[in-house]
Amino acid sequence: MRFTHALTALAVLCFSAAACGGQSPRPVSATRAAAPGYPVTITNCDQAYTFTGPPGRTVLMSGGAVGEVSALVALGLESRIAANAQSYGTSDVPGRAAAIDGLPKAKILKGGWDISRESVLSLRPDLVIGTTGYDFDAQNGYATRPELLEIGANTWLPDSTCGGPGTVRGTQTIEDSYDMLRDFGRIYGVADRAEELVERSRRRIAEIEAKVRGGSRPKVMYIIPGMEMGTAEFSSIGANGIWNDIFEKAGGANAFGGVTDGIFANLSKEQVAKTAVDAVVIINWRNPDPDAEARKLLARFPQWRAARDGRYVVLSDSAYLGPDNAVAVERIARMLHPERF
Amino acid sequence: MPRRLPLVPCLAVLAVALLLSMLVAVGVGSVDVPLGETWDIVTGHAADPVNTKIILDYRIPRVLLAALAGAGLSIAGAVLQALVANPLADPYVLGISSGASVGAVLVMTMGSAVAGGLGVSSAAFAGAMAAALIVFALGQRRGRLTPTRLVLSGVAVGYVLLAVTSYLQLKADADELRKVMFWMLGSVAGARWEQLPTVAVVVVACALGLMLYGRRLNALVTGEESATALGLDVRRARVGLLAVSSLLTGAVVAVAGGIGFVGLMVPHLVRLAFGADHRRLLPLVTLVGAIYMVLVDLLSRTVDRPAELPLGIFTAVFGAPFFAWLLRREEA
Amino acid sequence: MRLRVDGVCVRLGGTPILHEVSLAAESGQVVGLVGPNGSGKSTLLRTVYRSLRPESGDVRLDGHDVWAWPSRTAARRIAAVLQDDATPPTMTVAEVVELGRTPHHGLFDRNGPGDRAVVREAMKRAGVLALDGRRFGSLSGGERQRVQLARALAQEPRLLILDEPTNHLDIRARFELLDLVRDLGTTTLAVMHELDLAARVCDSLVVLHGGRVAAAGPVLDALTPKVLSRVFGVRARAARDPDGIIRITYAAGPLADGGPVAPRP
Repeated sequence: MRFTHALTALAVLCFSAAACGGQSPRPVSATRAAAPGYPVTITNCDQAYTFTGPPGRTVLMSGGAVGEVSALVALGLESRIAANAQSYGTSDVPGRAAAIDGLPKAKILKGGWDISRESVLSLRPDLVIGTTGYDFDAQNGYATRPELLEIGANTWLPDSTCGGPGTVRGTQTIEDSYDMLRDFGRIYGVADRAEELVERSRRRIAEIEAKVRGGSRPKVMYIIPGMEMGTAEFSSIGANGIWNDIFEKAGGANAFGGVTDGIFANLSKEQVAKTAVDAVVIINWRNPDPDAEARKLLARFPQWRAARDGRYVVLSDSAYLGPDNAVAVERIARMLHPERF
Repeated sequence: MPRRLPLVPCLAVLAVALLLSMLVAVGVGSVDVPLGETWDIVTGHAADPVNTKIILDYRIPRVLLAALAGAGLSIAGAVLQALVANPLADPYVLGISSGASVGAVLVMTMGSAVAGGLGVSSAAFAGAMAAALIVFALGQRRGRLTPTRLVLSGVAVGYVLLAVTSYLQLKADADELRKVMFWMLGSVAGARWEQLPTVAVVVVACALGLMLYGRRLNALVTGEESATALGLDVRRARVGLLAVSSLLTGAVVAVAGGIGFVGLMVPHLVRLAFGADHRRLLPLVTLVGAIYMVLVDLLSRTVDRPAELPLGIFTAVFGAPFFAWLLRREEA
Repeated sequence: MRLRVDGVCVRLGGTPILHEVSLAAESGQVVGLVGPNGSGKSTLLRTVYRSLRPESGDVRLDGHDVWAWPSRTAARRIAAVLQDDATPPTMTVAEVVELGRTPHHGLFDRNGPGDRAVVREAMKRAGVLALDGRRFGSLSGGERQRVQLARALAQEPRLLILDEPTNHLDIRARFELLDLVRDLGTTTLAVMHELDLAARVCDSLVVLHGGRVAAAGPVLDALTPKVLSRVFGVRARAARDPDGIIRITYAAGPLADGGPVAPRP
């Protein structure tokens, strides 16, 4: 049924770009006695949120995404999570999927990806983390950020996807992933650990950039098979997102970077066929057999260099906002420039 | 010999039933709040801020909105059925809900400037009215409304408007796409106190006004010529009733989306049980519609606790077979 | 109560339907409107019960232009029993008859004892008191017509309009209904399909042909062999039999003076 596709589309939009019902800035006052190193004040989506101690009952919204929970796990904050709606069921980092699967699961709305407003309140969270403003939109039956604040819960969204409709700020880069890690580091009092993760990622990416520097820049296609984002046959081709930065660092370029201003391109088979594609990044989003998807795609466009060379790589969470972008950069770089490794 | 059930006791029983179903709906939800505590919260004696917020800011407005939406759509359905002397009429079937959706979505996605400065509710009303006028214009043949033409043009206009809504959503912003779902299925899950006054005023005012009009509605259902002979200015009555049902539909759709088949089902059930006299029908339909929607919403959030299902799924599951049954009966 | 229709012209969708039609019904008279299908009978009725405004000419009741009255005022004076009535079958007989009180009430009025008395009296006169609680849909054709007549009587009209009141009724019901109408003593304008019945019940007849009055007057004056032949295309003659009842005798054979005449455009 089209409807389920629409839902899928919605979910992806949520975890990719998008925005939220506008929040009017208002001061937040700390009421609890501050723990050592606290209060900490974080500015998120133009509003200041004050933490009097590390959150112990974190709720993760936005079941279509995984970056936020992945970041918390990477920071060793599993015990701080009261309920988690996020999961890909797979990960590019060994053990990550199992670690996420082991977290307390949130009950999400049927046919949706988020936790209803009653349920989220009853979890008695002290921090609710989402991926876009969708997760806090009253119209959809979710608790708003001011409402959560009233019961003593702070909220957090990636700064690039927190605005109202049409106010997505620029195109995400790997720096946005670092900002997320640093925010979580400050919020939970593990700033050193966050900085360490960021530094390690930076070093790794710098090494790879050095290896691929001066080489050719193959055109890379980013596609999420099985996900419908629009009405066209190819509606889940990444156009403007964090992957552009990842491709850049891996010595490639997005084959579909310029076809639209949006995050995802909505293209017909003809439009896809006339684009030169040298390599394909298949995103495994709850897909039973991503390799088969890759073979199917390449068989349909034999004129591509990607098809002639059989060049594709399957990635999942590392090619999205999250703690492991360096993994994606390395895997893509190795595919594009194998001779340099 | 069908003796009519006495009206006043029936209204009293239904009013009590509505109150009870609303109490149950406030007491039961996707989250457990003990009944005793719920009572304390409602009477202002509770301390827990989380449960207080759940009950006062989430459930009570939700239940009230469900009741108002159910009442509003049911009255609109009853009026439309009288207006066209056709039992298949309903704001959803006649495309009026879709018109309201277009109006509301237009303002929500493109800003109120495109709709001449109208707010969401007024734009929903304007959309409902425009859709109704188009459907009625298409449904006429030599100046007379024919039931089949009317239903068919309603369905056709409804589809076109649904396409417009979808287009507006897709066109406007990726983030707005998600609201397609809301407008297609209808929901009271996001009810807020500030949404209630407009709907409440419209539903209550229309219900009271129409109850005064019950005798004329009775005359109207006997047919255009017959109503004229009974002293009714049929054309004027139709325009007025069309405006009222569009207003009701617009007010409800602006906050609860396009909930289908309620306006079809409730008036029919009431007619089966209480007869066709609109002086009795309208107050009964108001109460039964409110009860029905409160219970359907309750079902939608308890059948798969703590997950919630969209409201429109249930009204369609109950309503569509009913529509088919009516269609068969009409043909017979 | 005297009805006067004077020079009424009607056009529907550009097509002229009535041309300068005039007729009169004196107080207490039953006037029959006869003519072939499409001769404009029902259209003429519509100009009287105010469903269709004539392009020119007027319709006056005791000298008052019925089109000058507010619609409710008119409906308190003129009641109609029509053919294509969509009365819901689920309504009870009492509810249907009570509809007749509609023009007597404003928005805020409720039924009073006076209304109930009028409704009861109307049901009594139409002979449907015994049907009181029945569903309209469960009645026979004759019963339905009498209930509709009771509804019209509940309007307390001074002029009664009937559009083919005996259509679809069996023979006994036809006579019962027409006798009832005769005995009411209310000025009545009735479209009649069958000439025998029209001749039996009406004080005078108006014969319409192609939207024009082809003949008018007491039954025997109106239904001359010439009119019967030219308008209805039958070879027949109307005469009063020894019981005083007007009968129409149809004969076989060629029509007098060449058969029906196409109505003038």
